[in-house]
Order: sequence, then structure tokens, then C-alpha cells
Amino acid sequence: MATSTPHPPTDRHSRGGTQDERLARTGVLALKGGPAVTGTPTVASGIATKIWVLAALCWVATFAAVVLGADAHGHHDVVLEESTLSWPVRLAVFAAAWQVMIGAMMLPSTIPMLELFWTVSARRPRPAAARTALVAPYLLIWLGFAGLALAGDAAVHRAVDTWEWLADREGLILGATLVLAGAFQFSSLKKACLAACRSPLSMMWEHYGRGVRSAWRLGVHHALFCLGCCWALMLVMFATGAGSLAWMLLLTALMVGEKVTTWGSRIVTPTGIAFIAAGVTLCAVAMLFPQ
Amino acid sequence: MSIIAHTGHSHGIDPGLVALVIVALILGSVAAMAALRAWQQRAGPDTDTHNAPDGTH
Repeated sequence: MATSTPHPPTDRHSRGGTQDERLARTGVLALKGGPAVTGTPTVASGIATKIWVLAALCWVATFAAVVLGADAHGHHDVVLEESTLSWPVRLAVFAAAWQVMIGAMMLPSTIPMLELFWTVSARRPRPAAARTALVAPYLLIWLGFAGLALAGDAAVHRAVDTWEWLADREGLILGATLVLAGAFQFSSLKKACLAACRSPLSMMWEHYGRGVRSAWRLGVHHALFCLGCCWALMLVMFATGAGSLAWMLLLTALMVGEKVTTWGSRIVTPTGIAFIAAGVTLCAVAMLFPQ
Repeated sequence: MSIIAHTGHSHGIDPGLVALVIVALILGSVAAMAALRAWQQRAGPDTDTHNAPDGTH
């Protein structure tokens, strides 16, 4: 599968092809419970178990941070204005907290893609390097999103500090974030990215190639589609504050449901309506009852 | 300055929590209606089949 092919494999392609293509098909068959070469299902199920364990550990770490009161260091307001730590340390703590949150919230929805890649790369040279190259862009791109959100939040803080009208109606900020997230659920970009995330086999078929560099490119595509699909929901998570367990649970359920389940596409519209309703309510309260 | 804490302190409630409750209520209602519809669809054909007017199944 060194060359790009615009469509996922079908029955027409079920014979012949390169070794990579056969391995990919074998992996897909294994994931669907069909005939496969010996050992392939073990590879796929093994990585799924590891990811679930890792995600569970991230949830435990988040819960422990909340119980111990350490979650405040991951909150954007504390990072920007209230922390007494030096800037490099507070940014490092924020980045670590964000990555733990990404691990808890986003890892479960990446399982289909990672299972597929782990299966296909099992018989390639240097599989560990290729797998690292696949996962690294995912973490880096989501970390970049957190950096952009933090920079944007710094601008919001400045606006609130200098604009008294907005300072009296700060609820507008979270309300507007919710309306934005809700409206994005109806966008064509969301639909396109969600469709890509829901069919990792198509993404593999289009972008898989030999070597670490190809794995990196596939990882970048995977991460960008995931970002395009979930950035608005994660912006809500950022606005409500890292460590808000109830929001984390709700948003994780929504993102995993949208991307992995058979009924996922049916919850996109209700989610958009619910977020817009919540955002409009917060905006109305902020306008009617200024501080 | 805290976006959430400021607004929350001024009105005694956390806007993030209010938003969470609204979203959960709406999505919970949608999920409940979908589950009810699926249950009715599953139950419907069985009743018709086993109670055919001519006595056949």
C-alpha cells in the first residue's frame, strides 16, 4: 500500500496486492472476527487492552488530582493569573495536566485506528518506531490546541480587564463558547472530520505507507481529523476548566459515542441543540443579571 | 480573574454546572425517547405475529 488509493478495500481487492495490503486486509478481517493469520488478533486485542488501561490510569490520576486539590494547576485561570509558580513550571504543569486529560478523554476513541495500525505494523521492520511516529503527532497537535486556547484565553482575560461592560457579564464568555460548540456540530467540517474518524480503514488505505515517515504522515492526518471533529467540545472542556470531572465524563461519552458507535452520527444534532440551549441560557442570564 | 468563578460567585451558582445540567437533561430526554421508540418497535411485530386474526402464527 505504498501508493495512495482513493477508496477503502473492497471484495474486488481481496486477492493479490502488496504484502502491506494483504496485512492490512488481514488485520481488518481479524478485527471483524474473520479468518486471519495466526497472532494477528492477539496484536489487535493487546493494544486495545493497553489503551483502556492507560485511559483508566489517566482517569484515576485526574480523580486523584481533584481529591487532592491539585487540579487547580491545570485550570487556565490559575495558570494565567493566580499561580505562584514560575512561568516555565506552571506551563509545564498545565501541559502535563492537559495531556493526562487528553489521555483520559480521547484515547478510547482512537482504539479502532490504533488496533488497525498495530496489526498492520506488526510484521514491518521497526514497528515500535512506526507506532511512536503514529501516536506522537496526536499528542503534539492536541498540545498545540491547548497552547492556542490558552493564548486565546489570555486575550479574553485582557478584554475582561479593560472592558467593564464585559466584566459585568462574564457569563457571556462561557455561554458564547457553548453556542459556538453547538453550532459547530451542524457544520460540514464536523461532518467530514467525523466521517473520516468513523472509518479508520479508509484513512489507513489512503495514507498508509512503509516506514516511519509515512507513519508520521498518517498520524498527522489522524490527529487533524480528530482535532477537526472534537476541537469545539474540547474548547468547552477548556472553558469549564481541566479537572471538571462531570464535564469530562459527559464530553468523553459524547466524543466516543460520536466516533466509535454505530449510532454515533445520530447524537450529533441533539448535542448541538443541547449546547446551543445551554449557551443561550447562560448568555440570557448574564445579560439580564449583570454583576 | 476567573471566568467561571466570577460569574458563579456573583449569583451563588456555577454557570458551568448550570450548563452541564441543561445539556444532560436535553441529551437524557433524547436518549430516553430513542430507547422507548426502539423498545416499541421491537415489541410491536411480536404482538402482531402471535395474535393473527385467523389463528395462524
